[in-house]
Amino acid sequence: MNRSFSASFFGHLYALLLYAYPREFRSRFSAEMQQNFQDRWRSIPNSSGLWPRPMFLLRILGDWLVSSTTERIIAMKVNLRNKGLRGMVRIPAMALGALVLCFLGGAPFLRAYVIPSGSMENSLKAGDYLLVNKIGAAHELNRGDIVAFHYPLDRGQTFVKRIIGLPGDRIRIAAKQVIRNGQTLTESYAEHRASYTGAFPDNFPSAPPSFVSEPGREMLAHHVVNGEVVVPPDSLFVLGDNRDDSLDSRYWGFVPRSDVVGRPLLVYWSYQPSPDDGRPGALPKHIFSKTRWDRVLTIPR
Amino acid sequence: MPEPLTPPVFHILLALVDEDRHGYGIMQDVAEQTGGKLQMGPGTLYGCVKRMLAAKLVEESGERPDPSLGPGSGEERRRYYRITSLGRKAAAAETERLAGALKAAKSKRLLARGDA
Repeated sequence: MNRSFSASFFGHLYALLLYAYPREFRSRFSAEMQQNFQDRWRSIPNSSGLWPRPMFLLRILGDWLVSSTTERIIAMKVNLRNKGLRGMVRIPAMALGALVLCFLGGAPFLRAYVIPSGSMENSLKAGDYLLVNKIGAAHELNRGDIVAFHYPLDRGQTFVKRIIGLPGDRIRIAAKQVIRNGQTLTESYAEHRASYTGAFPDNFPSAPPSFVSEPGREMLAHHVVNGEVVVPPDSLFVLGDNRDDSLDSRYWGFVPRSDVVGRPLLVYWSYQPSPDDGRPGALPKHIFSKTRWDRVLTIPR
Repeated sequence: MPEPLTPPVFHILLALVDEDRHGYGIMQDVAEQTGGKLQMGPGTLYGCVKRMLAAKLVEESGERPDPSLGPGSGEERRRYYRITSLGRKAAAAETERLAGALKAAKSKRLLARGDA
């Protein structure tokens, strides 16, 4: 695992753990604690081999368990003093509520999704069950990050794609190669499965086919300069990794930054979709044989 | 006579006696003071800091004494802490208490080598 990647991954995970602390404690100290985590992670010398990092994480976990419990108990005592028994009931109820909300989608920090199509293959496969970290969704977005966002044509749906262009970037595609700000990208994650070259999707921007939607046409009409799409402020240009089979910014324009839901954190389960999925009894029958074990608990990147 | 301080609180105060520090700086100094024997995690540290702020033993310092950390290094997320005069008094009282305890332990020859 690459160093800065692992720092930010475990940093995000730690940010989630901080939700175990009482709200008042968190609002005062969580930024500092995250910074502290990053500083200490970076201070582990690269030369010191593999084991100091797991050891560090274990120690952090121990500290987290003890101190979050302590802080909760202290907060509970204060609550009890101020509000009587009603303050006590709130705590387990809150934990239960958070868990339910997480899967229903209202949680402030995590949300679970299923990937329905192969547009992000091979990074994400149809049937991957995904946890999305909603914290700091709109911050620190980088080119090459995978993001979950509200689909511009139907905000009720959430799409997952990869960021190709940030505001100000100039994007074009020539013979399947993405060229950003004049530089041809090396994209290890991109998949091309069709043997032919599509007139529009593989040489972009160009004359749109009829099914390109209104916002897509708006982008082609107003945001193309010298044969390149220029990403406007507070917007993102996104593409699916499976370039020949992905409906993305080429077809429906930019994603407003504010529509980003979060970044995929973990594939917690992965199930090979099959035609008899809907039939009663199919899931228990196939749950072991059709679970893609090699994808369970992997980090989409 | 004030109440004895817990070891983490005492060592945090000691760390701040000579200069204002941020959380990680406090951890490093405490580890140094104790030869690595007291390694506080962030939850323990900030839990102590929270109560020390409430007890007015320390306060937040507006200054950023570490100029080597420029923008983008996360400096805006670090906060610095300063010991208050009350904190100094508490640390001094604790030191005296410990000195008294040390004297008592020596007089009872607790340590195998009496000169320690």
